[in-house]
Amino acid sequence: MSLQTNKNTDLRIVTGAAADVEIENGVLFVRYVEAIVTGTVAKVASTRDALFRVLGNDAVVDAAAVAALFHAINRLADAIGIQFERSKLERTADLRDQLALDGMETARFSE
Amino acid sequence: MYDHAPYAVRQDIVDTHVRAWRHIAAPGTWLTGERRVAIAAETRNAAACPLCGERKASLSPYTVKGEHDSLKDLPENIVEMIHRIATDPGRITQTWVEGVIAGGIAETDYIEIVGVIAHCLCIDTFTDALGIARHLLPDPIEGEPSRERPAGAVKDTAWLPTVPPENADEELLAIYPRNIGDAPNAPHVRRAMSLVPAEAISFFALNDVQYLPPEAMWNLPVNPRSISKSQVELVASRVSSLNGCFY
Repeated sequence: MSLQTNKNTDLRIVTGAAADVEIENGVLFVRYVEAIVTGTVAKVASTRDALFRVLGNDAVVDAAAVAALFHAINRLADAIGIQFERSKLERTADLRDQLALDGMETARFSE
Repeated sequence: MYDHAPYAVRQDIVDTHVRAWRHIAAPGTWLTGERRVAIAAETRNAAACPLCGERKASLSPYTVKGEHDSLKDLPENIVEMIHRIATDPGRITQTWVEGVIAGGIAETDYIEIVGVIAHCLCIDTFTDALGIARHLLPDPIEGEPSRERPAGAVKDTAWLPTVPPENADEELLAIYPRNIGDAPNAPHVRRAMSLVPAEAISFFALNDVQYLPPEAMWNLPVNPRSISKSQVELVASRVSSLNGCFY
């Protein structure tokens, strides 16, 4: 359940298990960051242009900034082996279930 | 730093990147500036390493043996560490980390190396995403590392010791959000590099300008970005999924 919209949102696009999401321009953002993480220079440019045409400079910069930060912080988390906090378990249960996250190799839970 | 970029970059990002770049070059807590810049250079080099490519494509990275295509400026065990973290972080195991430590890299050095990798990757990925040429690596700054290990680090929320809030000094406490909305006390990711506080503090300065600062994370109506929080989280979570990062 999204606290912003009070709606249950299908977020399976996050894991690549769905092609769309009920977040405004969500697909544009997802294609851009997929290109950043796994694509070619040309793909990064074309998806960036697509995002720019719809949302402009600041949105592109903000998306690039978030993607870059998480590309780095993911490594920090997994190189140091940090555990998921017990305090977050209950409120993330539905989301983890929807996205089948608990089976991930990097799922580490606090005791 | 971004004066000639094809996109207007927020001043807080510019300022923080300038500081972060200097942070890479300066003497650290355990490593010299020269060593730190070499780590940044090897982080960049890792993407093109054929051994890393082969490991990434294999069912298990541990079955693929060979030599990394390195810049030859660092010992092999540090090269192995950098290349794994840079290219295949989602399959790092506790056994591998313990093997790296047992193989001669001190826990404190390990954390500082992770810090340099994270700083370099963050800024390089940002420039790549905007189609900007990567910044030249900075010239190392002379000087001795401070060699101060914080007291009170414990191994309870990660594979390496971290400093819990009750043992943190004022400087470290500043990056542990408290009393903001219903913020949990020191999310584990903010504690991750606290064994080397200077790395944690510098990296979370990047976090707060590129992602969301604590006062925005825990307060729904507060959003300093041009995109919605749903869009921010969509970007963050898709990247994390692609990197195989559960946290």
